[in-house]
Order: sequence, then structure tokens, then C-alpha cells
Amino acid sequence: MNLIKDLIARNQNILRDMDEHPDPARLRSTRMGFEVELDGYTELLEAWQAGKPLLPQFPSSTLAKALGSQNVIYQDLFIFLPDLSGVPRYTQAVYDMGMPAYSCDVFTLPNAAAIMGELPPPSLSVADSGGVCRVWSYHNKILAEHFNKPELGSVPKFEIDTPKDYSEESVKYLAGQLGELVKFAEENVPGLKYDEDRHKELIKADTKWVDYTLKEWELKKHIPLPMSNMESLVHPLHFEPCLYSTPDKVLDFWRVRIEELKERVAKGMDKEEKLRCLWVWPPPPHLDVFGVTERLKMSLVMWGAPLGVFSGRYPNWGDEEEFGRKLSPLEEEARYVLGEVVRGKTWADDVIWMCQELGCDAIIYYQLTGCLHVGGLAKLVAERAEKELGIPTIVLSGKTLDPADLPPEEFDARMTEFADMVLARKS
Amino acid sequence: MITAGIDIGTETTKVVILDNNEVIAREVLIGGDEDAVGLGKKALEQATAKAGIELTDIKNIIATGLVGINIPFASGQVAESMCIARGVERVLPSTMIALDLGASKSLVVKCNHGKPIKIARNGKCAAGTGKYLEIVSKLLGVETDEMTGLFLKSKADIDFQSTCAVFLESEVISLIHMKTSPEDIARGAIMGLAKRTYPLLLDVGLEEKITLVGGLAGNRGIAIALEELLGQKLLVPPEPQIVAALGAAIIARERAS
Repeated sequence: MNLIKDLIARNQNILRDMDEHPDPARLRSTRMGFEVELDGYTELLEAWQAGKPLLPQFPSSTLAKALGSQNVIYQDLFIFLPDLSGVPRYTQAVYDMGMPAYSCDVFTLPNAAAIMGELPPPSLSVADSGGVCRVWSYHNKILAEHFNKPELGSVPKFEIDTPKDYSEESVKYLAGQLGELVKFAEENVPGLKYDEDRHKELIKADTKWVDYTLKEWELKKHIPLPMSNMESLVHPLHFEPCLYSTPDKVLDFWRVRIEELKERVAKGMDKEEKLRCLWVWPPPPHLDVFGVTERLKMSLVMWGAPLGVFSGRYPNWGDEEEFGRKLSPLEEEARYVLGEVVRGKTWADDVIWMCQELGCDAIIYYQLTGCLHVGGLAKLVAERAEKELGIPTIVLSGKTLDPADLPPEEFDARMTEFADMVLARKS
Repeated sequence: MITAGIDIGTETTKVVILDNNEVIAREVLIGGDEDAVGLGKKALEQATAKAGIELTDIKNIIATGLVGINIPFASGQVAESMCIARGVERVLPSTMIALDLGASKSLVVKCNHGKPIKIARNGKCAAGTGKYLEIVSKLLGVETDEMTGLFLKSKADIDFQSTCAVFLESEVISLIHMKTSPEDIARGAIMGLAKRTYPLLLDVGLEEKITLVGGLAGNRGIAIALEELLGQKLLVPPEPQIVAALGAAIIARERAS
């Protein structure tokens, strides 16, 4: 099995379907997004087949590119798989390999697929002690240990000590760690060479990207939401320019997307929006999230996840005000990574703030089974949302890729009930 | 206009038939969810026979209860919380919170003029449901209905350590072996159920007028236990088990008009 080929076929089918069944309600840029993805998957497959260095789960796409490689986010690939029938097979592999089974399936299953050779293997494994999410860090360590075994290629591994707090000292410390990583990568992976000038260019591309996401943030405050829920829940990270080989094409996608949204807001839209909700955590592909919410005339304004940079809550790349000075490229990376670290109270603060900024009537909190750090925060967020904003939260529990815990009919019934209740409260 | 509401539970199926605003028949059929459609049809037929009408006289039927089951002879399915809020407004309009305790669910609905404004439920946890009591009553060799009698004769409080219905069985067996009286075990179980339900009430915010509905509402021991915990009297309507079906019939009438 080759999951990259499956993803290529998936996008080819989607593009063909879009051409055969045009939808005037769809953004033109949505098609561009699927083209960007297709290019990305094709280039990844070619790189894999040619034996070029690949850096999956790398701390940063810009840094991977500056080293002359490509970052690959396994979870990002897995969540878009057209066929989830392999889930039981990967789940069994997780048990057989001795990996923790009661953990976020978005991490355990792709890691199993990578070890089984169905996703591209790393040329260098990087684990960090406490990065974006603890489960991410935990599973990257497991992945690094597995790929370091002789039978899987003795892939060199490197561990980064990521600070738990955010401060200028922490940024400097992490930047130092990233510097060590760069040296290690150059010494241990043939073909990798750090280019600081290239790094600066890539950071500029990422700065433009964040500027676009900030514009989108503002446009999303418009009622009704000027896009479909599927288009709305495209996470900014999925279209980070440096995740792909053609950053300019990705920036083009963002440019056209923003132009279209501005146009829709200026002209007004014939669309009924009864409710406006924040969806917390990834919309699981095994549920018809978009179909159900569109039927309920419920707009999903955002996928509430670490979104500090993309909402303007945290400084953008290149910001010199925060520490009163210009940062080096590695310090920029460190600041970006640390800004996205998920911490309990900060997470809850951010979710409440997002609801306030975007005028939400309710929160749909998908409490992901096995999510060690934000799974348990559902109740805290619900209590704060009720107390501080006067809005209710529905907490749904389930996995991302396995429908066992939350069957589609139960999801439909609970969402319908919740929507009725929120409307009753509003009236 | 004649309308009907069907409430399909895991152990019983309830039907209420309304002629405009008057209840002309009700039916409670014991049977599980193995053949929900068949039971729903049977309960409906028995209710229409009691009312002296034909099925075709019913203008609109709304179903509620178990999800994911298509009831072909109902025009639609409405969430339990909505049906309970409507039903309880009809039988006890002063209700601020409806607490629905059934065989496999505990559902709390804060209501405002017949509409749910906050909901809390037990999710997949059996603690706080009829299942919890059923486990204990089987071990004591009594019917669930008899647990109240034992509860009222209890002389000591036992705090069950298990918060989970799965581990409850082994804990009760240990208590029996330690010669703990059935009365005290019954009290422990009923208080345990009440304690599992209490956080749901806190979730929606406590109010003065709490009405107990559902299959377990007729269990006096549960009402006493909850009143002890809450420090207030609970309201219990004359036919608590059919409140959701009544609400469904009311919604059927609203939609048909």
C-alpha cells in the first residue's frame, strides 16, 4: 500500500468532480487548494521514490526547506485519506508494535503506517521534549526510536529540549537547540545543507501567509460567514507555503481566497445563518460534519486549535516590537514554535477569546479520545463559555479516524438537539 | 385533530394519543430495542384501540427516544430533551428542571416555557441509570421495585467506592460476603445513583422546581435520596413515564397545525 498514491488519486477525483459538477457557491480558490495539495503529494512521491532526504514531523517547514529538504506532516496526510478502511489494520499494528493504544489516533495510526512503509520514512527523526502538543512530542520520540532500529534504516535521531514557558530567554534557548539540530542534520544526512539566506526568504513567504490569515480572520466576523463550513475549517497550517515545494503557488491560493471573501462581504450573500459556532479540534472525517451543520444552518467559523499567530493574538514572523529587536532566523523559528505550544489555561483563554472575537453562539467541543492535554479541558472551557460569554457548549467524545465511539446517527441526533436548544436560548 | 407521540426506550415503549389538547390514550409496552419499530407499531395499535380510533385518524406522529432507528410511520423524530421540555410544561408548568431517569440514561433538561435551554446527560456511563440499580437488585435477589422498601428500612449509610457500574458488581458481592444487610446495600445503591445524578444537575445549575420523570421516577427511594442530597422536595407528575411521549404528541400537533 502507498498512501501517497491514494491521496494523489483522491485529489485527481475531486478536481475531476469539480469540473464535471461546478458549484457557484464554492470559492474558486478551493479548487486551487486541491491543486496545491495534488502538486505537494506528487512531489512528495517523487522525492520518496528518488531517495531524496525527507524530514517528516520536523519542528518547522521553513527550517526543513532551508536545509534543502521537505517537511511532511503524517497527521495532515492521514486525515485526508479517502478510504479509512485501513484503520483496523493500523490499530492492530499499533498494538503489535507496543505503541500506546489509548492515545490520539491521529498520531498513533499514521506512525504505524509510516513504520509499515506506507508513508515516506524520515531521513532524520526529531523528537522534542514538550512542543506543540505533548502527544506529538511523545509519539515523535516513539517514531524516532523505531526508525533508529537497524531493520528500519538506523535513521539518526535528535532530541530537542523545548522550554515549557514563553519568554525571550526561552526563545534564545530553543534557537540554540535548533542550531544544534541544523549541525546534526548537515553531518548525518547526505544532501542537507543549511542556507541562511534561503531561510530568510522562506520566513518572508511565511510572513505573507500569516498576513493573509489575519485578513481572513477579520472577514470571518461577517454574518453570514462568507464561505461554506468545509472551506471555513481549512486550517491555516495545512496551507503553509513552506510545506509545499512551490510556496508562491500557495500564496496565490491565499491571495485569491482573500479577494473572493472580500468580494462576497462587499456584495452581501443570500445565505441563511441561524447559528455561529466554534468547532474545537479536528472535524473527524468519519462524520458528516459539514452536511449536518449546513443542514442546521450553523456556520462553523473556525477550527479552534492553536491559532495564536493566525488570529493576531501572538506576534507574526518578523515582529520586532515584542523583544525590542530583530530576531535571527533561528530565533524566529523558535518564537513561532513556542507560540504554538499548547498550555492548559492558555488554551482555554484562547478558545474563549476566539468565541468572543468571532461572535459565536455556541461551542462544539470534539473531545478527542486519547488527547492528553486538551481532552480534559472540555469541561473547563464549557464552564467558562457559559459564565463569561453566556454561550453553551456541546461536548462530543470520539476518535478522529475510528467511528466506534461516536456513530454518525448519534452525532446527527445530538447536533440537532443542541442546535434546537441554542436557538431556543437565543429567542 | 388527533396526534400521537412515541417514545422508544431501551426497556419500554410509550405512546400517548392527543385529541387536540386532551390525552385520549396512553400505552406503556415492555420490550427492549431489539425490534423498536415492531414495538412502536404494537404500542400505537394498542393505544388506538383504547382510544377507539383507527390509525388513519391520526394526523401526525412524532417519535423520540433511541437514535439511529427509523420509524417509518412517524413523520419525524425529535430529540428527547425537546419532548421532555414540552411534556413537562403540560403536566407541571412550574418546572424549571426536568430530570429524566431511565433504564440506560439520566438526562437533565433545564426548561423555559416548554423549551430546553440547557442539557446534561450521562453519556455512555451507566452509573446514575436504572442499569445501576438493576445490577444491585439482581445480586440481592429482589426486583428493582422492591429496593425502595429495603432502602426505607436501612439503618446505616454505605458509601459505595465504585463510581463505575462495571466494578459495582464485585463491590456488592464483597459487601454481601461481609454480611452487610440488604437494606443497607439497597440504600447505598440508591444513594449512589442519586450521587451520580447530582453533578448533572449542577452542570445545568440548580433551581427550585425540579421534576422527576422517566421510568425510575416512580421509584420513591430514588426521589427520597435525591431530595436528601438536594435539600429540597422534588415534583413528580402522576404518570412520569409517559412525559416524553406526551411532549412528542404535543410537538406532532404543533407541526401539523
